[in-house]
Parts: sequence; structure tokens; C-alpha cells
Amino acid sequence: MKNWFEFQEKFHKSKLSESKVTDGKNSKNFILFNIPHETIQPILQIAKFLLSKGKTDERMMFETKKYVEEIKVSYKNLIEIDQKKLHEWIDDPKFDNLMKVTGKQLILGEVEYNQLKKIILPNVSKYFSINWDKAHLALCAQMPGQMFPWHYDIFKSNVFTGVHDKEYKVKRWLIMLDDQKPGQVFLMGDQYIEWKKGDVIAWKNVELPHGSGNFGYWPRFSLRITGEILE
Amino acid sequence: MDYFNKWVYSNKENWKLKPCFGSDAYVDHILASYDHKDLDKDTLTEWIKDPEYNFIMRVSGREYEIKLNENEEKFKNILKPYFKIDWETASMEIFVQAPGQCFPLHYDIYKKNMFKIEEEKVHRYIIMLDDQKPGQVFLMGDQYIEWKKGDVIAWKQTTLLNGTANFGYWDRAKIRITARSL
Repeated sequence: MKNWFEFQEKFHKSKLSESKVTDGKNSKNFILFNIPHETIQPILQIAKFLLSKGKTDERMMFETKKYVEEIKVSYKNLIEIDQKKLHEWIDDPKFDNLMKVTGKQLILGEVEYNQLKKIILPNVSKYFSINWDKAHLALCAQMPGQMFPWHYDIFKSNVFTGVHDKEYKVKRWLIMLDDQKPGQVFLMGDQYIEWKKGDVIAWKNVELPHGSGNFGYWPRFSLRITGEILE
Repeated sequence: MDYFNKWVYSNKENWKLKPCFGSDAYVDHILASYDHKDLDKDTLTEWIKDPEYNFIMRVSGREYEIKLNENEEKFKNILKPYFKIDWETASMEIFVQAPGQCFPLHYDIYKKNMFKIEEEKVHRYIIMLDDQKPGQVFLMGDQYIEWKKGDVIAWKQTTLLNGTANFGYWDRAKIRITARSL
């Protein structure tokens, strides 16, 4: 994974001008704005309910086969990547502990995704001007001991706009569903992020490496939204 | 620092994986450290081995320890000029936090019984043997710590919760010294 990270670092830096989709400079500490408690609370309750009922899917953040496929689609027409080499990079046994053991999170309500979307959308859709029909939502819990390995987001233009050169039209937000608890950390570049319940974290998607970890004793709930910005 | 750093990374065959907490020895250590009448061994064992936290305590909450063996005296001599402590009774340990490992959030336990002095006279220092790399985190209370190779981190023992994680791709080595001040 380290080799892939370094490859991305070099390539993504060469594409900076094409990917400035979020004006991080105008947001303090990467917090774009805050969604009020009354809107966030029902979503947090759903997340906690799904967790308590075990309606969760434990996912490796970067499962080799799936991630390689995603990369293939995401970098199509952007850069040629040797598939064999890529597979070796992602599946490097040197990083098995991080990539296969602790680099996991829980996706909540995966099997009820459409139903979940229907419940969540009325609460949050007014805050984000995106094509909600094709938007992707993920309700997540990072459990004690789990980590999100250090990474660059992959390009998303191909997936969300159908072409490779409209990265500026795709945006990702992370909504923190609860106050930050001790031992919950989120690094964006070299910056340590502090958040409160309802904070919406945004960044220049493919430009900044980031990762997170939870070495405390409380789950960290978040809602991730990715979509195509409407004109 | 380069001397220690080189020693750590050229001795990988001696890295021994161990849990940061959660062992029977940790329970005994706590009981010896606290003069708390209501702290009974069974309850404490239940708390420390709570299965709800198995993953953090036994899977990600681990680190590599490198035994100093015959090098201990030599290493202490190198560091002696920097710390006014009783080196005779000082404990010196070297650990590596590898990618995917964390040190679960915790308060340090009392050490006065171990050193047989007032707690205020016991000091712990962490010497960072590598520059901080992406994905390496050290929290002290609510403060995020940034470090460079050779930095010595110290804090008021037992009063600040602390913990670390490494979700990047580089090992992070440290020396830990615990001792009574002179």
C-alpha cells in the first residue's frame, strides 16, 4: 500500500489544478459548517440502533480485489497503471496488519441501504446541492481499535460524471454524527482535526492525504456523502 | 539518536510483539500500584479483560518490545547526561509501534509503590527515535503532539490520559524511561 500511496502522491500533485472541488482555505479546520442537533440526532439514533442490532458489515477499508477494481475505473483515461504491479502494491504483506487486520470499519445498515437513504435524505439533502439520485451515502462506525489507513482518495469523476475530466464536479463530505470522544483522531494532511456533533468535514478530495484512528472506548459515527455537484 | 535508531532497525529479529495492556501481569501491576481497598482482583480482571474491547486491547493495542539485555548499561550511560534521575533504579525500555498498531487510551498507573517514594518524584520520559511520519498520532489529554527525532516528551504522571496510533506506513520507535528524580 505504501508504494501505491507514493504513486498517488506524485500523480495527484501533478493534477492539482483539475481537482480543486472544495475550497478548504475558507473553512476553519476543514469544518465547512455545522448541521444542527435536531437534524443530526435522528441519524445518530438510527446508527446506534443498527449497531445495537448487529446490522453491520465489517469492511476492510482497502480490500485488495475490490480496491484494485475501483482504481481501474477511477483512473481510466487519466493514467495507465500496471495491474499486476498495482495488485502487489495493495496486497503488500508488509502492511497486512494495517490493511487487513486493523484497517476496518463497520458499515451500518448496508442491506437496508435504499430504505436507509429514504430516511436520511429528508434530513440532510437541503445542505448539499448534488444529484441525489446518483449520490452515495455510507453510514459508518469506527470501532475502538479500528483505523482508516493513510491514503489519498481516488479520483471519482469517471464514476459520478461518466467522464474522466470533471473531478471538480464531484464532492465528498463527512458528517460527524457525534461529538469527538477521547482517542478518536482524524488527520488531514499534517493537520489534526477537532470536531463537534453535526460538523461537516470537507477537503480538496484527491489532494490531501488523510486517515483516522480510534484508540478510545467509544464508537465514532459518521455519514459520508459523495455526489455530483449540480450546476 | 541515530545510534539508537540504527540499533532498533538492525535488530528486527529481536522485536517481540506484546499487548500494551490486558495481560494478567497488568492486573497484578495495578493491584501493586494502587492502595485502593475496594479494588478486588476479580472485578479488576473483568474490567481489564472486558470482551467488548477485545479488538482494541488484544488486536490493535499491541506494540513491539526490544529487550535491551546486555546493552542496558551502555544505553543508560549514553543518556545519563540528559536526565537527573536515579539511574541505578531507572527502568529503560525500547518499543516500536508498527503500522496498524495503537496504544489504547489510558491513564498511567501510580508508580510510587514501585519506587517506594512519593508519586511526585517519579518521572517518565518518552524519547522519540524517529521524526513523526504521516499517520502517526500521539494524544496527551486533548492535545495533539507533534515531534521530531530526539524530542523528549514528559507529562504530569497519572493525571493526563494519553494514547497513540499509527495508521501510516512507517514504524515509530521510542525509548521509555521511568525513574525517580534526584
